[in-house]
Amino acid sequence: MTNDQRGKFISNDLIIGAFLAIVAVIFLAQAVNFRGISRYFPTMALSLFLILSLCEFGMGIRKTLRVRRGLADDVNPELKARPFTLFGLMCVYVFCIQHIGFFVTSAIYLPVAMLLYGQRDSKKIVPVTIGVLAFLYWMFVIQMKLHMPNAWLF
Amino acid sequence: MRKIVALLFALSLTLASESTKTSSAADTYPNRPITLTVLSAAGGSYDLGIRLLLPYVEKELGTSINVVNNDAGNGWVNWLGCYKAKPDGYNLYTTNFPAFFSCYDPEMNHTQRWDDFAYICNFCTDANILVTRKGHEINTVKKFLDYCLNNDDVVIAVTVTGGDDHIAYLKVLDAIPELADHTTPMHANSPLTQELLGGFVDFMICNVGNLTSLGDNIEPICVFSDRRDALAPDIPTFNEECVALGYKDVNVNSATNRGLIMPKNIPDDIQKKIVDAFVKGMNDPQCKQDFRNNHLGWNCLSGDEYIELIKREDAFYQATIMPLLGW
Amino acid sequence: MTIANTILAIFQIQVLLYTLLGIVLGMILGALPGFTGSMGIALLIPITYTMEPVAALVMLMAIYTAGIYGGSISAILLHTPGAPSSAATADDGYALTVQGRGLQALGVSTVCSSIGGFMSGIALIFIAPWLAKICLIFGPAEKFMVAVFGLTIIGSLCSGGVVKGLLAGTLGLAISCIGVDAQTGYPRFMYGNDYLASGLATIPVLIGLFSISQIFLMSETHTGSNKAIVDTALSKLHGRLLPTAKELGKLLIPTIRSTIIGIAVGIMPGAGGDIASFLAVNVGKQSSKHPDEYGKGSMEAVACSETANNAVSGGAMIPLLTLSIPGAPTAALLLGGFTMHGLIPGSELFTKHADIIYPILSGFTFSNVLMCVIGLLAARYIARVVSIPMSILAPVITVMATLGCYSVNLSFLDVWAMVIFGLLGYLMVKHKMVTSPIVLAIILGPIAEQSLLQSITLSRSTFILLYYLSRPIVLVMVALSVFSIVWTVIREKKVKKA
Repeated sequence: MTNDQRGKFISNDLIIGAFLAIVAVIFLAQAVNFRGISRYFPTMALSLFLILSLCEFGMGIRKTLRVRRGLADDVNPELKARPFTLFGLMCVYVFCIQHIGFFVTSAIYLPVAMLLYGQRDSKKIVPVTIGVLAFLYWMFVIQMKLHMPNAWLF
Repeated sequence: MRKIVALLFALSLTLASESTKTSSAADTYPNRPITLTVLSAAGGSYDLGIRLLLPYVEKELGTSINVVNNDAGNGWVNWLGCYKAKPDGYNLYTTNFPAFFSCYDPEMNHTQRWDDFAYICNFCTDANILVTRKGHEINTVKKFLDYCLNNDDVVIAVTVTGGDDHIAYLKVLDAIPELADHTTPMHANSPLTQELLGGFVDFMICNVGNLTSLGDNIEPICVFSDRRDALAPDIPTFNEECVALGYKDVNVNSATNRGLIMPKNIPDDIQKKIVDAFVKGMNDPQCKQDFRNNHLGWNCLSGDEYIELIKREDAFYQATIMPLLGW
Repeated sequence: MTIANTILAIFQIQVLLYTLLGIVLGMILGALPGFTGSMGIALLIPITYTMEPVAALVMLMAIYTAGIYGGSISAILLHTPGAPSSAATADDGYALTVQGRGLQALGVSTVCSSIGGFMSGIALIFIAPWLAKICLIFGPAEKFMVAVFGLTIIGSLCSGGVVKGLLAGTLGLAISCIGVDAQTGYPRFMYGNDYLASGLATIPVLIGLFSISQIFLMSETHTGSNKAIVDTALSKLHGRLLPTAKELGKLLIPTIRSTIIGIAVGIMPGAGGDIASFLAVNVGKQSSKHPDEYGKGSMEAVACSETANNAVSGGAMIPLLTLSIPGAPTAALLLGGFTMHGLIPGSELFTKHADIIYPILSGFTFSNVLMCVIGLLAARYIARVVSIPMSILAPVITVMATLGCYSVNLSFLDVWAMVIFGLLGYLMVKHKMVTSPIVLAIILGPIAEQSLLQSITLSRSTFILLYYLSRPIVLVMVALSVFSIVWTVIREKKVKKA
């Protein structure tokens, strides 16, 4: 690590610890107001969660200071954009299933996702799309009579 | 003038065609399969009752009925589905009293009430019973009451808060208030059979239908009904035993009543077809036999009789149970 | 009922065909992400009403055991546990696949699953009434301590970061509080959504944390100036399918031990294959000469997990058939099947209905042998799935997992939970956090809470601590829990020193 990198280093544990501690406080504030004995277990679990978040925060501070003082080397994991793009695509996919329909949306999602992953051979994309959807339809709609979501299309 | 006549003529044609549509809709109903949403998981006694009944109803209606099991939301997904469903007669649902009265829970924010639905019929009534384990010395109502009144913190196993067995317990407290200081309910998501058989609790409230699956490991003490249950005629009622012991005005009736509902505003002709088909199906002698063979409490109530039952239960729930639940 | 008659009964063509159908259906449903053997049982129970009882019930029980085994196939090959009971297999099984040893992992899983199921069937046939009495000695206080002991396993699951592991565990405990509280009827963290009344379903959380997170991780790989993803196959599997005699010999003790753990956990009501598999892996790790391999591709871990989770299938039937107490959630479904055919649990079942029940139980036991044969024959073909490029596999898994999660409660809330936990799982893995503590805590949390509150009710006026300390089994579980924690701490210190 360069000196500049060391000087600017903030351990992800610090950020994670702080974020989780805030989340714990938000939910703990709700849990303590639950009626009667129903508040005991969530309060206990969230209190433990808060304590451990603070421990994580403390460990993050320690790591940050050690790196900045040159006493240790550490790197934060690199988060790339592609998984988040996929996450966004999955969200769109689920949203569309609810409103358009499972099979129509999946018939669009499968080839798009395969292309996004780098598949370029249409001789694989088309049969896989048709085959998977046909199998799911036969197995779960016909045989097991699974009730598909009510949507605009099928 | 001519314009007015023409307008009136057009209007009357439109009205005539609408009424033709309505009557033709009822005439052609049903012209495709019907979906019935069951508020219990597949394989349970509720689901079994429905599946025993449906072949007879399908014969009457002349179409297939597809069962969809959806026990999500403790039945509320089913009830809300019915509330929002299109009133075309092709989506039917199920109901359960007293489970439906969780609509009054102030924390759950459900605004639907029993009269927001149209009712087909009740198909099964499963009375609540008080049981102990086989061989336990306290096996009569007299011994039970004596034991409770002479001890503190007698634990009685029930299931979830507001469930029919918990309601049965609350009804017993309402009838004999002295018991409140001597007994405590113990809740669980499923029947506490293991705790009963293991000796951790001595008493449990369950249903007549559970007697079949619980086999010879338990001993029923009494049934909470105004008359002895046809499926278990040897079990005395709590009421008759209390009267014999000198308790006056004890009338504890508690059961789970399973019925069928449909969205409101379905055209009257179609509603009538649906109700008639289910009632005829229920009254088929073979259907009654199927229910008996499977130890299910056949109880066909429809029309005003069914509504009266619901009104009675609703009034009692609001007056007595809700204060006891703290609602 | 003679042995000859029993054998004749299970080798009738109809029974054999339905057994085969049950095994294949169970394996398929178990392997498909989001679907489980329990779903198959729930959907087929009504259909079996018109069938002859032996054929019907052997088929249902075959689906049960094969469904558990099927879950391990996708857990090993795709890091996608097909069922909660395969969650403990996923990390080691998948690591073996990445190392190119997935075929052996499948072979070990097949053989060990069959051994666990077979031995539990033998226990069910010969010593069920005696074993059933064990379940009656576990009351709420004992169950609470068993849950606490199960939660102490979390420490051993997180190598190199106990705080992070416990953080995940307490997150799981908090998540398990979502839903309507049985004790008071109070809705907790539901925010007006009725679908959350029974809490977050385990399957969407499991699929998200294990499978979807893996899909996100896989998508990171890219190369070339145009940043296109390299379309690589996951691995080319090679080597033997069946372990050698020497390898099997090394796995013998873990297998026997895990069988006993699986049967014991199965007997305890409410505890299923998920708890049994985690417990067996934990005990295996504590007893192993190579504990550091656990979590990184240990064949022993796969053997422990798979033996235990299939041994639960027979174990759970023991209290079910003798006392009407389902030993596992799926066994509760099977109870409906038994009563539908007039087979009421209790002492009479093994006397008055001996001519039906013994063929059913023997058929179940035999189905584990058949499952082994089918599994081994199909393994090489099934294993080819890892040769499929990720560009095809990942979207297909996503679509199947989506349908599977939707089918749990017919709710999109579960699908959204899968996606969100997928992102959470990805971020956790990137920050070197183990995801299995969340799953374990979600399963054990409700058991712990309910048992604790019930034991408080039962303690009456006795001080709760005194109540607990007066119970021998509780004391044993406390000792085991303390040992589990101390061992974890000592192991961590040893690892740090090394």
